[in-house]
Amino acid sequence: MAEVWSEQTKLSHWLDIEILATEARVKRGEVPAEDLETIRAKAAFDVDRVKEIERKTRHDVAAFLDNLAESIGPASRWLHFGMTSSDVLDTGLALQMRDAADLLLKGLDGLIAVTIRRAREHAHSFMSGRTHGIHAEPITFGLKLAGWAFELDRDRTRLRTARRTISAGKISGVVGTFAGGDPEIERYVCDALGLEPDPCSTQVIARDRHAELTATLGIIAGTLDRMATEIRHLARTEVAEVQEPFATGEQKGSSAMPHKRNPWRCERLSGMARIVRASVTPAIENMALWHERDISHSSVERVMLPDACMALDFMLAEATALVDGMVVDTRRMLENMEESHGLMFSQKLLLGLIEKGMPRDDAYRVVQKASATAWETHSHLRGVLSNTPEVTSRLGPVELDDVFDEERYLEHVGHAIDRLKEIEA
Amino acid sequence: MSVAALELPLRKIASGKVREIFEIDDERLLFVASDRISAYDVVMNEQIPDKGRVLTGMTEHWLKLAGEIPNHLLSMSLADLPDQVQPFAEELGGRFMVVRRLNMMPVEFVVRGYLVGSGWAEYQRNGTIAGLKLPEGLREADKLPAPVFTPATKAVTGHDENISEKTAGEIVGEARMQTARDYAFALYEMAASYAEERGIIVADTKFEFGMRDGEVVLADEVLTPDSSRFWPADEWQPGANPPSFDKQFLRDWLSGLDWNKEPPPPTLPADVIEGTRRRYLEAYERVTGRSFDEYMEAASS
Repeated sequence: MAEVWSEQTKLSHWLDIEILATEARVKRGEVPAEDLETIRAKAAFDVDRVKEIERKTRHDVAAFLDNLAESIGPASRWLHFGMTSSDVLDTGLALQMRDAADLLLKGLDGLIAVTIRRAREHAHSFMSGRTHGIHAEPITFGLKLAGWAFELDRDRTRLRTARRTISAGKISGVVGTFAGGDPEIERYVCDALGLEPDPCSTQVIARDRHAELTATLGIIAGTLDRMATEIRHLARTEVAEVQEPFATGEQKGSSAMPHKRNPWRCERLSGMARIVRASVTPAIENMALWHERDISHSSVERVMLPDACMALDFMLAEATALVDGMVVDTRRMLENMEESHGLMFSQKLLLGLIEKGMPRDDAYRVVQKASATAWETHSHLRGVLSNTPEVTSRLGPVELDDVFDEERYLEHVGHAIDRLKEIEA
Repeated sequence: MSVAALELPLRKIASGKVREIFEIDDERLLFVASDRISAYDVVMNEQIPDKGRVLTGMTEHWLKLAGEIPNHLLSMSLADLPDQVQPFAEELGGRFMVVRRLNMMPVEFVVRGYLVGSGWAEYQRNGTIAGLKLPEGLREADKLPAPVFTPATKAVTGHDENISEKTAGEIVGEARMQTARDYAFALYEMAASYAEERGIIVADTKFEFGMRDGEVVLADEVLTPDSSRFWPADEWQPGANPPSFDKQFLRDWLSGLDWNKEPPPPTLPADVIEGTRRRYLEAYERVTGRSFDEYMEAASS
């Protein structure tokens, strides 16, 4: 990813674009073929030399062209003929963004595959479902992971769409009117690079495209933050259901406290997600350029596009390692379920009483009262119910056992797990 | 610590009086023997610590002696438990088997060497066992002239029903039935003579078989006190049903109570639990010639 965003890569794209545009003009009979030969044979640039020239020109593309002229000689006059800087800049940026998207898509593929594998592994690992941080009803850890996998798959679809959107180039001149050369040149260059010609550019390619990509990066970061935050919650001492991978015997969790196994990699993911998300607002603000363009977007993009792509690339690799290696304490999950003394089964109990002919509100009050007793006395709801005549007169011991059977609660969990095959590569 | 019903992070596909079966994947199952104990078909509320381990250990022992007969056991090593089950390794050690998934035959392959139980009842009625004419004048618990094969269907609820060998052949296919029957005879005879040298009579036993890749494969528990009648040889006396090696202690205690043998069962006191446990451990050590501690040491590695 760093290579995609390096100066060397950027200038290579520029050179490719300049040569392709000249090629198009040779084909149109506007430039002598031998000059193109000279350009091809001699064209060379040096990143440091371009920087040196730029200190005088205070213009990056102009400095680049000056550097090329130094190696090519007089034939270099055909380079950039009838073009504007943004023809090179924006077309080159499209190539960088497209290559970045390809790398990120690869990262997503890997993360999705690992998440699917672990979701299947834990399809039957019972745990507490929690809403508002409070026990709700039982779920399985696999169901949680399946939810992540489907979300990541949607991210992948978004990124593929954004990749298409940013794969647009332009060689349409200073205000998009092709005053400096025929649209055929743009078509030729874009075809060769695998880009779509922007159907109506100004001096630049409109920034809604860049905003779409950046917003997508922000959403993906949001997904990774959601996953990291979940693991951090599940790793808390009082919960202790999931731990980050920890290199026993090598890693140190804290400089001061030898017992620590902190979820620091997840915390770093949450932190880096803030950086990626912070690119989204500037990217959208970049859309409102003045008239046929101003240059306020440029400084923003120079920082935020490489940073967001590189951060997310690292985050995807990191999340993949985390999901792959996280240590899941399935036993602790069951123990924690007991912490709410069977209250998670209250709905099934409520429905059971209603089925036996009890009016809903009466049943609700009976279950609510028994639940409060269980909670306050730290005794299991099943035991409280045995001493509740309104319940025992309607539900026998076997029926009550069924109410507290997680297996029955989760008979449809397989539905989501089965559907994982739809998103498998 | 004893184990009643383990909740494991795997899909439970069957739960019996004593054993739970979980699905690992399309190829493998996880068999777990609990410490539950039943008497007169009623499961007690208390467990007998390590009983599930004794049963698993005995099955392992017999499988080792079963020679060429294919069986379903893949591993009893903790390392072969799937990752998500590792947190339960301590309870599972010694009481689980990772086994091959089979197409189970819906027939129990029972071999009887002695005249007892439903065999004795049939003999009293018709003078036969599994339709086979027996000499007159046999007493309860008499040794049969030769072991007999008395297949039974696996009833989903209640008691299994004895069927003829012909019917068993119709249910599972004649050739398969014959192979399984021959395996059952061979296993019974091997175990009976082995146990006899150690002062234990294997009066009768039940085997289960399944199919895999066209092959008849021995499955389930093998020659355990739960699938067989083990009698102490020195207390065997034809004319009366001898005491059960493992359960007599419990039955004796229960028979002294005013209990109608219907659920709910009475609460087992600690000394009955401990006494029953000792009988199981003794059964293991007598049968295998190996100490239970030694077994557990191997099981936790």
